[in-house]
Amino acid sequence: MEDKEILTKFKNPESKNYAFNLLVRKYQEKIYWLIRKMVIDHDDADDLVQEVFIKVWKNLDKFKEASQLYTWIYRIATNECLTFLNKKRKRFFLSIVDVEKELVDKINNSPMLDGEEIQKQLQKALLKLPDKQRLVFNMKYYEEMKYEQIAAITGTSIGSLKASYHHAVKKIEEILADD
Amino acid sequence: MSDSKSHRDQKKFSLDQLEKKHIYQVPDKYFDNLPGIIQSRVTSKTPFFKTNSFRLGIRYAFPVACLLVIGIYFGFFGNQNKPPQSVESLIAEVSYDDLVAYLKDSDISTDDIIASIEDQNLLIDFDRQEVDPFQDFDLEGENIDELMDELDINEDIF
Repeated sequence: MEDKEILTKFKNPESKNYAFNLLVRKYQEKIYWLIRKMVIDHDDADDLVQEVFIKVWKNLDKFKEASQLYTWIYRIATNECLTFLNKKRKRFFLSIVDVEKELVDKINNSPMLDGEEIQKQLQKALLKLPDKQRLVFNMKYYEEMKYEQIAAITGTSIGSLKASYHHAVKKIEEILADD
Repeated sequence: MSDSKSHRDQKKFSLDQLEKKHIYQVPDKYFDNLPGIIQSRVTSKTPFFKTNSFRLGIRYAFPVACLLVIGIYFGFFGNQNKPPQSVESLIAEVSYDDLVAYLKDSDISTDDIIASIEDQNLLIDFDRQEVDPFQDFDLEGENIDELMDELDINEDIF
């Protein structure tokens, strides 16, 4: 079902729940995988996905149809992710271990992870990037989004995104070459 | 120098050589169940939150910890001319809501709180409350009628 149709149904109190259910089913996987690649841990990703859709539920009435619905939902998801990681860093401020190490440990030890060693190495290399750059990389490399779409979600210029992605790829290739 | 450059070139790695793979997994039927979980959360009247004891602990313990630190600081380094601030006065600076929230979230039982109050006069004598309020009266014969008149109880009370 088209987003427009979902929005129309959502505005009708009788079909509000039905429309929201359709919306969750339509976007849940995309949002989950975007978040999961950022926070690595399934339980954290699960919490964040739920929070994202609860925010969508609370604010969908205020959604301005000037922007696309998926852009809006992705923006909420990216904000949730970055806020979560920032909070985690603040919590680790006085700790011996850091967030990057924690996430690397999760890649090494999580039972919910499959794939060849090189794929794990790639994920670990990604953790060396700043969060925002990692987010851009994931959206471009894995989700194969256009720069225009990423720009609409992140509110960054296309030129900056291109530079950021190019720099991220270079850095990752260097890290993987050294490993 | 040329050796190290050629060595670097030899080791050069390109992302294009790598197959794009999603290595993360989810529990069985996760995406089948997720819409139902989210739907139940948004439609339930009571706000749902996962108990994060660490976060809650920090939230409520922080003001108390701050006061303790301030108390210790002034206890050791404070102006000698000023009378030292008591723990009670420090705790009095914590808002009622914060204290209630902290005590509610902590493992301190009511018995512990009562036991920690030094001034026993502050404690309510619950046994005394159960004493018959009419025990001081001699409730016999005319005295009952006088008492009823005094309390303005003229109607049948049974």
